[in-house]
Formats: sequence, structure tokens, C-alpha cells
Amino acid sequence: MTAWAVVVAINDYGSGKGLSQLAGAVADAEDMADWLLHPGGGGVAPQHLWFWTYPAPASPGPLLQAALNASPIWPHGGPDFTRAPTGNEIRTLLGELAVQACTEGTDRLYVYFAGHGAHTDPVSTIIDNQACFIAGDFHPRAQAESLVGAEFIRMAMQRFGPAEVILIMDCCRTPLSRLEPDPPGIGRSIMRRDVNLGVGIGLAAARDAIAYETPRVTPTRGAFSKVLVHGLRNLRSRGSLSVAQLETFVRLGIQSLVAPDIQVPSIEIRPKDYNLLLAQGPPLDPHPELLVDLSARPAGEAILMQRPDLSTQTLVAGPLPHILAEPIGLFSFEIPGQDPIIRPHIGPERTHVVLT
Amino acid sequence: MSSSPSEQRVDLTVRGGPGVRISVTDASYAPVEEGTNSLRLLLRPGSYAVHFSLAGLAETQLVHLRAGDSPRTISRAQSLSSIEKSQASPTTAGAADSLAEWPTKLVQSAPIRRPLKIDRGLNLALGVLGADPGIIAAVSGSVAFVDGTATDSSSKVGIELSSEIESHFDGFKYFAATPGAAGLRFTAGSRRKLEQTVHIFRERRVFVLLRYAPFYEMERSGDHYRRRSRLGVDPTLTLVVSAPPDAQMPSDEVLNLGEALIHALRNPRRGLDPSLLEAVAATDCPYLRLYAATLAVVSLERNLKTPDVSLKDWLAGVGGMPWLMRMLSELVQPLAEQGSADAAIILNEARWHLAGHDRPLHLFAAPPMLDPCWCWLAAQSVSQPSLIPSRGLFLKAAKGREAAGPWLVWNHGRASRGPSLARISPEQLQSMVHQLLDVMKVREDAGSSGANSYDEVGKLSRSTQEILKAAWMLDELEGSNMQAESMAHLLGAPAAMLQDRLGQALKEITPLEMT
Repeated sequence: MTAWAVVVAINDYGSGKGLSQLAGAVADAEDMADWLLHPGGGGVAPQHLWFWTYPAPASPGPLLQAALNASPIWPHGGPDFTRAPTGNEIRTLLGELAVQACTEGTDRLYVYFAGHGAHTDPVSTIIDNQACFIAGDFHPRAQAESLVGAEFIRMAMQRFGPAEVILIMDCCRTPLSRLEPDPPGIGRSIMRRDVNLGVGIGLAAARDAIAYETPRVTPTRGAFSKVLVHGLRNLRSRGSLSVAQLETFVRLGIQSLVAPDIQVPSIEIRPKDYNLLLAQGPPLDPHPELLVDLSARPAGEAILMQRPDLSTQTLVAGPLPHILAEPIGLFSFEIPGQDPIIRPHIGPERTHVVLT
Repeated sequence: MSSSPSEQRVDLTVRGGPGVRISVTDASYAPVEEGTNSLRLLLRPGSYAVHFSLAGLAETQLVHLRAGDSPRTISRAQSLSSIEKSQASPTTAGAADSLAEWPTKLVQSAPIRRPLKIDRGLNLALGVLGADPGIIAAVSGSVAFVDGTATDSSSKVGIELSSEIESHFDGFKYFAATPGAAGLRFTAGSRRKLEQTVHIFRERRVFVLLRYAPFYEMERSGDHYRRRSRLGVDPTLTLVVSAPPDAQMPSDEVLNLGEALIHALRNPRRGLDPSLLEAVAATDCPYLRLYAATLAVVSLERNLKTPDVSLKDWLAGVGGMPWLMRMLSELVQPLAEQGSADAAIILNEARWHLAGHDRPLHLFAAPPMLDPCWCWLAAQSVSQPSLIPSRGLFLKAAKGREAAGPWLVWNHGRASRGPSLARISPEQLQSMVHQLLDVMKVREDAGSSGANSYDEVGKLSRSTQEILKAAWMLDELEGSNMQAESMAHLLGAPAAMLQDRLGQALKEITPLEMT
């Protein structure tokens, strides 16, 4: 399968715009790009990654560095890492790239955004309200031009995009003033091609809600991207990863990162019945660690742990914790005389399970 | 011969409630089963994640099944609507500041389950829905009911305020209202004074539940802008439901379904789940019926206009057009007979879409409650201009209409005077729409980014910008067959106003073409 990708992230929108400085958007983009470029991940060739972040990635990994060296040119020039891309630059790229990918028989196009976002509320029920990524030319008096709308991308891709398109937006969906015009469309004059089979759309938060960064005190990542990319890299069931599987994983995983706040992401496919496989093959990373602390239990007590694959292991209570490398999934612990305790093991950090 | 523990199956029943979608995944998060309302599964021992969702709201529960377990049942732990509120709860500093205004704006809240005796004749209850659905707060003084059919600002107040009971115990204010259209006036977070219709049905107690939410705006401070927030009524989140005339509160099911349907009407992309339609048909709340029927027709209309969604599949899923038409008639025909403008408009629209029937001329006493119904009425006014009279509330709604999610809300402070709107033939309108399109095409063909250029469009009036937006959208959906009716529908503008707006837009755009 051949795949191309567009990755855009903005930490810094400049001062005086009412948009706060973000800590994790560029790091999220780097992580996503690493997965996209991995042969066992997205399988995107370095020359087919359109990558633009502001600021530039601080310490790109070898795969991303190779891609930056082979970076393709954007229609209006760029990437220019001294500034953030504008809404028009992004929309133009998406329109032209979709056509080009289609023409060259590319199977899949990934589109990833991280930064600030908004949600529109148009007058008519015929036009969808939509989640939007806010590009670098945002101005509080003229917001619409900087918006890149998820629904407009979907409509464009279904009209003239390649066979499969996966769109990910890690940004808030705070409500946009109803006085704002809708964001501009994408490729309105481009002829319909009817090549597209399905579009997957991953959104970080529910409508009108906030997408958080993590950790809470000194954030370094977007919670959604962190869990999502980890799932893309390592979550597998019989060697593959489906949209439904990833959505459940991300929904559960994100809660552990943003609690006590609530963030409800979604991943949907259009049309609904299209079977979109997100990844195939073995996990890319070693299993994350699972630490089970049984020190509060009577010494010598045997507790049965069941893994996601239903295999079991007996853990004996003692003063030292059990530290195990385990696949991600739901683990259950049976303490004699009690109902089983279920704990999600999400990763990539160590999961702490304390049984009292 | 007994089977090994791993081959045994445990009987698991999952109950989500009407319209709730359920998906079950195994311990590796791999999908096991999906369904709606409830599921009964025979599962291998192990851990499972059960995911409930309804119109974009969601909840996940984990369950562990052991070999030899007796049949298990799990249900939604809480109202899905409360999850929506939690996730949408503001957490930014500005919002937190504005929330500090609550104690001064609202009287004491209390759990709603107090055994109050409210006179049966007090058939209209007004309250503020809090973050927890079990809590109702009283509205501030800026909300009132007026005669919903009043023709000008000097009209008498249709509901005697002396009959109002302000209860500090259950948070509601009660009114005695005459069945028919009542006008709800309130001040929104934007500080605009808005008005909408609430239809009062006979033999029902109507509960109008407002929500306060932070309203954001950018404020200039020297060379910088800063975000300001203020708390006020968010009309998009208003919920109107009903209960029997002596009930103290609508049932949880009615509240949940109402919330889900209003949410779906705000975001109709997913269309209507047929099982939700059936669940609503089993209730006796007229408002749920109006919401569900509107959503069904909106879904139908979107399927007709948006080529990537299959009308055929959608209709096959609900049992075909005859089933849908029967269901819609069952839902709203009795309400149309009680004078509900929304119900009559929904039926007209459905019959026109589904069976190709002509839409009969109905004259209504007041504008409808729901915005999609107003838009259908506006479209119909292209061929039947008298449907929207150029006076009274209809004129106010036409001139001052504001988008407020599923509700038709208008700015009642906007002048209702002015020239009577002239009649225009559908052919004249059609010609103006195509003239507008031609101007745009010339500009696009000339190689400029044309009206897509923000710099140019940004200089145009807001009304013209809206018309251009609508024209682009319709050009995509209908191409050269674009109808004036569609334009009226999309803009929610009655025929006579559409003529006026198209004329002004053409005047503004044509000079641009010459440059």
C-alpha cells in the first residue's frame, strides 16, 4: 500500500490573538510523523511527507530528519519553519495533494493537525457544523479565513481524493461565534473523481469541549495524540488494528491522562460500513510496564492476574511490587473472596495497579 | 461431558435504554458485538469494555465475566446527558470567572424530587437546568412569557404574571397559559434580547428548561485582544419537554430523549436512528415527537441533497417510505390538529419529499418553534408568499432571525416596522439566483480566486457574504438546477426578503466584477 501524509502543528500563534501558547502540538506532530514514516506503521516514504510545524521540531528522530531533508515543496512555497502555515496554504495543499495522490494511484492519504481549534455553528441544517483547525493567520476580527474545516476536508476527499483518507485533528472544539462566516471550502472547482472509498475522522474532543494537554502541570503533549499514536504503534488484535478498537482504547486511555477533567474523543468512518484497517503487523515498541503493588495484601497471598489474551499468572503478595512487561489491554485481578478488579493497561508509561 | 472453562459462555445482558447504541469490545479492545437499546450476548470468560453512546454522548463500563457466572446484566450507570454536561463544562479561567456570577443570578437550587402540590392549571413551568440533571435553578428576572401571537410590541401580556408561583424549593416558576403559541423572551449571553415561540399543548404541563453558559467575545485592549466571557442563556441548549398536567417533573426517559434529540438536531450529520423514532412514538410527549419528526425529515432532506449518503440505504434501514410516512403521521398528525405550526409544516414537507404531494396552504397564528420548520416555511413561501405575512411576529422573525441550534429565535428588539414586503414570482427569484451565480462564475473563470478571496468577500456586507456562502453551497449541491426555494430554505429568508437581499447582493457584487 502506498501512502502520503500531511502533518501540520502549531504551538505558537503569536501574541495579541487571544490564543494561548501550546506546549505539545509540535511534539505530537513529531510522534505522529515517526509512526507515519515507520515501515511497520503508516508506511509513508520520506519524500511523501508534507510536514510543517511552528516552531520547527527541536530534535527530530532519524526518520523525521530524513523526511525533512527530502521535504516536498508546498504549492505556495514552504515549509517555512520561521512561521506557522496559513489556512489558505493548508487548504490549497490539501486540494492539490488529493488530486495528485489520486492521479498517481496512492492508496491512502493521512492528514494530521495539532494546535488550537474551534467548532462552527452555521445557520442551516443542510450545512454541517464542523470541527476546525486554526491555522497561523488567525485574527480575532477575521477568524474564518484561518479555519480548516474537518467536514469540508471530508467532502473534498470524498469527491476527488484517493481511495482512503485518514484525518486526525488534535485540537479543542470551542464554539465559534455564530457571527463568524463559515470557513472557506476546499477545491470547490475540482472535478469529482469518485475514487474515494472511505474517510476516517479522528477528533480529540466532543463538540464545544476542550482537548487537554498532558501532564496537567507542565504539559508536553496533547492527551489525544499521545494515546492515539501509542495505540497506532502498539495496539493490535490478531495482528491488525481497526477503527473501533482504536476508538475504545483512546476513549479509555485519555481519561487516565486528563482526569479529573473529561475528554471524549471520537473516531468515525464515512461511509459507516467501510472497513478501514489502521495498522497491520506486530506492535512496534516493547510492551509497556505494568507495576502491581500487593504490599497491602497479606504476605504470601496468591492473586490471579488475567491478561487480555486470557492467559493467567499468579502473583504472590509481598513487600516488593511485581514489575511486568505486558501487552496493552484490560487486566483483571482476582483477590480471594472479592469480585475481580479490572484495570486498563494503556502505556506508554508504566501502569500502576495497587491492590489493597 | 463438561466443557473447559475457556469454552464456557456467560450470558450477559446489556441495557442502554431507548436509542442508545451499545458496542462491546474484548480485553484487547477488539470489537465483539454492536447493537441498539439492549444486547444479549453469550461471551467467553474474560474482561470486556461496554460502550454506550447516544447522539454523540458516551459512557464506558468495564465488566469481568468468570466461568460459571450466572447470567449478568449491566445498565448505563448514569444519564448520558450528564456526561455531556461534564465534558462541556468550561474549565478555562475566563469561564470559571463567569461561573462565579451564578450565586447572584440564580436563587437557591434544590433537588427536584420534593413532593410539591402544584395546581393542575399551572401548565407552564420555567426553570434553569443545572450541571446535574437532578437540579433545577430558578431563572433570573430577564426571562418572561408573552402572548406568542402578539402582532406588535405593545401587545398585552398573554400570561398573567400574577398567576406565577416562584418556588424556591423546586426552582421552577409556574404560569397558567392558554393552549396555543406563547412567546418566550430572554436575554442571551450575547446580551441580545431574543424571543421564540413555545407551543402549549392541551392537557400537558410544559417544562421550558433554559441553560446558562459562558459566552465568549474578543475584546480589544490596546494593541492586543483578550478573551472575555460572560454568563447568559444559551438558546441552543434550551430544552422543552412535557409531562401529564399534574406531574411535578418530566420522566427521566423524556428528559434523556429530549436532550438526545435536541443534541441530534444541533448536529444532524448522523441522521436519525430508527429505533429512536420508535422509542419516541411510545412516549406521549408532543415535543419529543416534533423533534424526532423534524430530525427524520432533516435526515431525509440531507440524504437527498448530499450525494455521499445513500437515501436508499437509509430508507431501507427504516422499512421504506411507506413506513416512514406512517410513522411521521402517527407522531405529529394529532399535534397539527392542535394547531402546532411545526407539526403541520413537518407533515407538509414529508409528504412533499416522500410522496410528491403538493404542499397545502396553511396560515399559522405564530412562527414555528423549530428552525428547520421555519426554513421549510421560507422555502414554501417562494410559491406561496402569503404563508409568511409581512407583519407581526412573522416579520420580526424574518428580519431578526438568529441561528440558535434547532430553535427559531429572533431578536425582538429589532424594528418590526418598515415597508411591507413586496410579492415576487418564483420566476423572478429564480432569475436573480442565476444572475448571482453567473457573476460568480465569470469571476472564477477569469482566474482570480473570485469571491473565494477573503480580502474581497470581507469587504462585502454580512448579508451578501451569507448569500455567497449559500450560493456556493447550493452550486455544489444542485449545480445549474439551483432553485430559489433552496436559497430561501438555506438562508431561512421568506420570498419577499430573499428578493430584497438578492437585489442588494447583486448590486454589491457586480461592481467588483468590473474591477
